[in-house]
Amino acid sequence: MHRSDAGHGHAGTPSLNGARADLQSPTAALAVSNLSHAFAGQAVLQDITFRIDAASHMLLLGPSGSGKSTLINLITGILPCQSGAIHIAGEPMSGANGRQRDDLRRRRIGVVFQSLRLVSALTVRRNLHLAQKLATGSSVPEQVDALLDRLGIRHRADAPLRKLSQGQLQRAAIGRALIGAPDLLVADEPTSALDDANAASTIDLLLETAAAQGTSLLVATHDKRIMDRISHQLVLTDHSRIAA
Amino acid sequence: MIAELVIAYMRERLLSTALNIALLALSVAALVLLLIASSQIGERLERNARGVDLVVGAKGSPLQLILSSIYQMDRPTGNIPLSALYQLRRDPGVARVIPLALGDAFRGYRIVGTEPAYLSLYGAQIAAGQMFAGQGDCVVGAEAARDLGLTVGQRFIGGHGMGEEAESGSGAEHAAQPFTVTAILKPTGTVADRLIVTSVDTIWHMHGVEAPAVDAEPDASAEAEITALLVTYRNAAGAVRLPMMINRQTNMQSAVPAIETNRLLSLLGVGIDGAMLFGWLLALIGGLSIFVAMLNAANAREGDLALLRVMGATRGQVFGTILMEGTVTAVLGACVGALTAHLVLAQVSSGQSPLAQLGLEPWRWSGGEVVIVAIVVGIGAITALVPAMRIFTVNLAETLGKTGR
Repeated sequence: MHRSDAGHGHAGTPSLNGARADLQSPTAALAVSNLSHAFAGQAVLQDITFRIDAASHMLLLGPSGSGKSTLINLITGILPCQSGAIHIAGEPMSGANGRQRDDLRRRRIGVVFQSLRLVSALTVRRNLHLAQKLATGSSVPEQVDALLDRLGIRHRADAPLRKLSQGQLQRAAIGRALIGAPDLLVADEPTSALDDANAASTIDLLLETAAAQGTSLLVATHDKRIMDRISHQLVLTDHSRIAA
Repeated sequence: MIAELVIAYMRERLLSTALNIALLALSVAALVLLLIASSQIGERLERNARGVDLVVGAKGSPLQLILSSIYQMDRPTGNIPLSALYQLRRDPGVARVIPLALGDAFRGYRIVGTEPAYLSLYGAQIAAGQMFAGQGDCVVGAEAARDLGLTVGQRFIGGHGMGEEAESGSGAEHAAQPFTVTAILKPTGTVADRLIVTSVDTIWHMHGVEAPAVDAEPDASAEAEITALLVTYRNAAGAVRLPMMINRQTNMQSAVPAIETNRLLSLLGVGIDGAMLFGWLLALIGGLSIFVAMLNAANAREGDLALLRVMGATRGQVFGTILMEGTVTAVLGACVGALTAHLVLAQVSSGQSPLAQLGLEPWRWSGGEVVIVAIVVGIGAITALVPAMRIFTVNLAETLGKTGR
């Protein structure tokens, strides 16, 4: 398993702790600095510092209970920051109130989950329209169609979700997360529920579409099948720290 | 965004949505039907009795006398001597007496032998033709003319009887004395719309009764009889004296329309109040059904709600989605119910049914309906409020952890 060297800060390359992340850098899609978090007095994350530059990718690894989910919830603003700082494309997520975090997430971040993928009552096309409208305030049908083409599911765009395969659903979820052209795409265990073929194509698709849109990518996983697909890796230990 | 989601969610749970709409529609239809019936019946009864202070007829049920003579709904109590007409016209307490000769009908529409003054009671105006004058002449009310297809100059043969035999045409026909339509009346919104009106002489002639000489007052033993007299008082003294005098000193009875109508309405009112209570109970059950459906939907959609929040929907937008779904269901239920009530009323008040004889106007909308619809929509919105409030208590991290990781 590769771990990036501390202090690497040039564009396109993630950097880990050891040096304070350059929070205000316009080239950083995500900058996390001295982040700590605890639940009921028990530390879940301790002094985490790293950054992901624009159009860069990073794999977040760690065993169960290492704080991956908490870190993602903090980055996406689902949980408020207790200590340390998080900036998304130069804008502070830490210190923001609930409404501000919602707004920052809406404008800057796309999220892909393992199984919670789409709004159940809508078709893939309507999900993408809705996501784009929420993110940007308007929906452009041509952009939705173009993304559906790139995802290879345009022919299933108007089918009921229950008639789509797991692989097609995950592709649709990637589309939903990317249609708003976010600065950062956070994927939480995106391949765990997929078979080998779908897992490989999903991670390829994530990398391709993120690269095509210039979106940075943070993939949290413990899926060994995709560990060699992204070279820059951040490993959380079971002591809630970044592995030395 | 909210509207699209609401429609999508309602389509996703089509059966449940349809059942909730049907339940609310049922309650609103019942309430609106009762509202229309109670308000229009009361109004109609009052309008038909306007200008008549007292009805004099053969002894029997006073309510039957009022129903048959004013509302043309029941069988007459019998006949009274023609001399009563002259006696009452001489009374200083009486301003006007209008005779009625009942007992015949044409295809379910009653033929009333009377004087032109009877039509003036209802403000009836001639739309085409001339008032009846000669033997066999008649004028036809607007609704009767439309339903029977009668036009001025047309001739028809009336039949004896006013009940089912008249409707079925099984009553004896007066083939030798056909009627000629001399006029069609403009609609009045009163009982006159459903009547065929002719002279008392024509009725007597049809039944082979010799009419008395114009200038001679018949005595009590004369053959010519009438069915009832509609009396209008000249002064208060008449109102005090006449009913008592007629009831005690003659073989006739007098009945006050206002009293009998109130009695009838209070009897009807008890039933209507009970049915209204049942209707509101149905509305509450409909609201409860929406509450249960929305609560289940909110539970089942917990993941969706969390996802919408992650996608950038505000709490207010997600809250609005659930609230609007409940409200739209209630609006649809209320509108379908109100429309159903009017359709049902239009159906039952057509033709010759007893309800048709009440002359209800099925497509007249009342302000009370708006209140019923508003209350039912309010019930729907309130019951959706509690499930919608869940969005403020959903723990996003926990929900996403449960469903996503």
